[in-house]
Amino acid sequence: MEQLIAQLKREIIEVLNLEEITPDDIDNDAPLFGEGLGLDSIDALELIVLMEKNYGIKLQDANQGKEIFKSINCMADYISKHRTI
Amino acid sequence: MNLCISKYCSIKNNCFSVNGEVVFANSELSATEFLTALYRHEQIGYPKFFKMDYLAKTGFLAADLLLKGTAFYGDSLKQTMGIFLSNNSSSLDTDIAFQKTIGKEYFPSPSVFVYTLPNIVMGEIAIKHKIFGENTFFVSQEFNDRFVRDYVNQVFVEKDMESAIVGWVELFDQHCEAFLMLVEKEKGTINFTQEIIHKLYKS
Repeated sequence: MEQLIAQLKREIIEVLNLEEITPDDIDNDAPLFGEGLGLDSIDALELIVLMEKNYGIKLQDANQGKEIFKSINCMADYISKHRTI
Repeated sequence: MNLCISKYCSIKNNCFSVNGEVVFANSELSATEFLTALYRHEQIGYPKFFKMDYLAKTGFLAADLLLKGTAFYGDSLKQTMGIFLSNNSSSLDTDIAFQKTIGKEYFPSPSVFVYTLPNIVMGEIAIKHKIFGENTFFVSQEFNDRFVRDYVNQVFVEKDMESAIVGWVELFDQHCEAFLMLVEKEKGTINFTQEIIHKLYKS
């Protein structure tokens, strides 16, 4: 799981252009949206694309995103259980 | 009504100038690398900058540094300030980048897509500086000083405006150019005439 978390952090930084943030700056339990990383709705769409492109996960219900993208830990947990690639 | 240019700036050939004086230059970088270098040099501290496309970065930087040190810099609401920009290539640079993200596997990027309109650069400027006045983006072959003078004068009268960011923001395939003027009603020493606009743009 730790390897997946580290990989996920690198991918998020790259895909969301978080230039001034390093993987160590991202708390595994901190909220990704609002406070924490302060991501916005376009970032949410980009994370959905990342899940499909890199892990073969296609979210069917947009409401799922609220739980999945709560934190890095939540995202990694969901990916580890549902990834197809 | 007499409109004046109270300040102007430009980004051209990897050189940033304010009122005709060079503030920052670096000829060793690519045009887009220069934008990041200028951002860091001026210590702007606005992380969303890194999410912008190159056209928005160019206009955002030029506008931010144009307003820096003036009464317009900061969080105050600016209801009577407008933004009027133009360029040649519209958002073509980002349109092409977006097309590439579609690719063979079809994964279009939402964050690239949102910049596939040239007027988004004005939105970025307006958000940062809380500018709520009129804004218009024109696409033209070249910077049209006469049209700019006429249009801006007309909008100042019709919309009862007090100030505006006016100019040219062009970005395509590593060609990057911005020329912005801070235009104010009855304030400043440079008259907002076609001849002067032309001269400042060419300088």
